[in-house]
Amino acid sequence: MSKEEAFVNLIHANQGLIFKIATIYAKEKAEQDDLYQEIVYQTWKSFDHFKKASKPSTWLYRVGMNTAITHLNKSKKQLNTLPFDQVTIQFSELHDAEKEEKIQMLYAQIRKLNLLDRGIVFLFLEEKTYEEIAEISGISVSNVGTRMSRIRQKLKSEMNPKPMEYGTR
Amino acid sequence: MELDEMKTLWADVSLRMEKQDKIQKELLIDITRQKFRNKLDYVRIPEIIGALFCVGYAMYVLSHFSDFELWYNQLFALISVFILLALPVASLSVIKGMRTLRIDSESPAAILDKFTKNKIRFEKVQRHSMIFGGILMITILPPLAELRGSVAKISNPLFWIIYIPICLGLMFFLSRWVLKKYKRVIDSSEKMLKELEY
Repeated sequence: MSKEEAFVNLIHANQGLIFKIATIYAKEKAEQDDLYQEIVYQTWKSFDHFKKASKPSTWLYRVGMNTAITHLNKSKKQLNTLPFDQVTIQFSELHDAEKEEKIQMLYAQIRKLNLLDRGIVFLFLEEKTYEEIAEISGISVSNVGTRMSRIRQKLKSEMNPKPMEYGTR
Repeated sequence: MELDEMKTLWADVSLRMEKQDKIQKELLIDITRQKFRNKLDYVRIPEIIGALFCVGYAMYVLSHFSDFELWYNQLFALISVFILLALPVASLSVIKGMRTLRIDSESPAAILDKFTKNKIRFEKVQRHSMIFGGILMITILPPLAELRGSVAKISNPLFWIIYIPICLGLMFFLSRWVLKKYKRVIDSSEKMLKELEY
């Protein structure tokens, strides 16, 4: 199998994963497409290292998250994307409006977190254990636990904001 | 929304993502090629042209250094040469630091830490570049006028009476704008670094 074929197979097998990273790190469709394409490009650029990676799944999560962090952290970006309509994530086609609303709320809440916490929640939602999250994100297992409990609290407080206190006359 | 509810929804999102049409092989290759071209066009060329211009002008001033008869023009020429050489070196070294991040082998926590530190350095270099650019505006014109044989113009006190207040005024507004512009970016980057520490 040629390098090109192996690369295409890897992207095809993990297309959903790349889409998910693009959607939690970028809000607008154009930005998501740009980020998706940037992850594909960075994967190609480092593809020779992929073959040497001990855990391919960890490698791809890292490339995706690292690309999102560095790409979106740039202060001014010029979006350079190819027309990408055929692969748009079309939630609008869904019939279940209530679920659709909840999914949008889910994204909105994740995007409120800082870049590292966003990645940690993403890995948690991907059913990764704390050990796996620690390995991929590069922090200790105890730090993952601490961050997860803070994230939990943050999400809870946003769902149940403290009632506004009015002064007594 | 609780995390457990999020997990259930996420499983649904994952399922839909997996069901989407696969991107064609040709499009994937086109994406990679176009990205590669864009990186070359938009990042490297302006950097290289800017650096070459600065170094070229510094060389020009240095090669005519013995032609300067006025002491202050010798001083201005030296300051200009220093700025023209130091700024591209500082800027390129910071950008190189950002480019050498290993996206495929470092962890997101390490990448975020290094990238944010580099970004703070970059913003600081930008800030200093703007301020030194203002100084360059003052120091570049008189030596150039002497080289072009207009010594009489810069020997006239009226030239300095007009030139210095204009330059100082420009410097004042430029510095104020620059400090305001970069402070926000640096502050938000430093906040991100603090968040990484907990």
